[in-house]
Amino acid sequence: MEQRSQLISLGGREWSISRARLGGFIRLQQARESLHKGVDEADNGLITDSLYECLRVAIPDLKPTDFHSAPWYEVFSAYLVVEQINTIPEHYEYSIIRFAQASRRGVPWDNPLRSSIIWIHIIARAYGWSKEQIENLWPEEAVAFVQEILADDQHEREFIHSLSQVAYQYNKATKKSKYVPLTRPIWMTARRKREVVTLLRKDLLPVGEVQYPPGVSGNLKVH
Amino acid sequence: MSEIAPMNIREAIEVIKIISPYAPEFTKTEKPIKIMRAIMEGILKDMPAQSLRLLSLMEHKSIDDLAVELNFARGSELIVRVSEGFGRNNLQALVDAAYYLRMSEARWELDNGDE
Repeated sequence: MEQRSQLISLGGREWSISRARLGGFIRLQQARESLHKGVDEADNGLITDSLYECLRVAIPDLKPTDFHSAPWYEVFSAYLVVEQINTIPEHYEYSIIRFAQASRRGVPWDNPLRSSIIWIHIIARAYGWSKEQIENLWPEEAVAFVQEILADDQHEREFIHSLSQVAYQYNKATKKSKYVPLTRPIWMTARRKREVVTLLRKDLLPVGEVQYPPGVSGNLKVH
Repeated sequence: MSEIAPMNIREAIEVIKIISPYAPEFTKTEKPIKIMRAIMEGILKDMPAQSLRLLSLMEHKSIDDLAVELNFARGSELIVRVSEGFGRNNLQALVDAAYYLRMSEARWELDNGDE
């Protein structure tokens, strides 16, 4: 797993910012949600406090006085570095992230901590690990575990569904029952589009020296 | 004359809130005089008192002190000092910060050079 770190300057001091484990990643997520809430409600205090919480994920020793006295561009640069250093690397290509869909209506039992507690809940329920063990995972490890747990839950639901009567729709015209499978979430069904390679007959290829546009890669050239 | 310190984060957030409504207008040009005209005309038309608040945030002075200072100054003094404040605090970076924090949807566009 990637351990990234970067040096930043804030309030006259140099700080080394390292990538956070899942516990810090979750706190950063909470601070980000609080920041967006502050922007939506035009609450300057909430925006500033959220930025401070974002920086504290990476710099636990950062004092409020240092934060509030530092030039604004140093604070903002540090915030961008913290955000950038704590993203899950794109090459992991988790389907559950690529096709993530936020629930528009929310759930009746929603609360401010839910988005962070749900990580711990899913993994602890499956493996029986403690909160500290789970928070010590790298974020990409946690996403991989959550993805597998949810896939296993879906397979179990499908198995139970296939044993019940509601899975079989009776057609009065044909007098036969047809199995209707359970709907899978989009992240379990969507596949990355494969590139289609078109083969051309040799006698249809252009003759002579071909002038390619700039930037054409070697595998697209016919000669 | 002591050098004026750059704004802290709280002051910068408040300045971003004041200038963001006019960002779609002034981000279309690179010419400083057009940028300042878009900002100051907008503020003086919609909320004239915010022009003093803008300067107070950038110079770390109270609005009362600024009102007394500017009362005896030339008419263009306010615009000059606000312009200097944007120079000290990098207006372009403020606009970028507003965009990344989702406080504004405007980003800098290049001037097409017609004017």
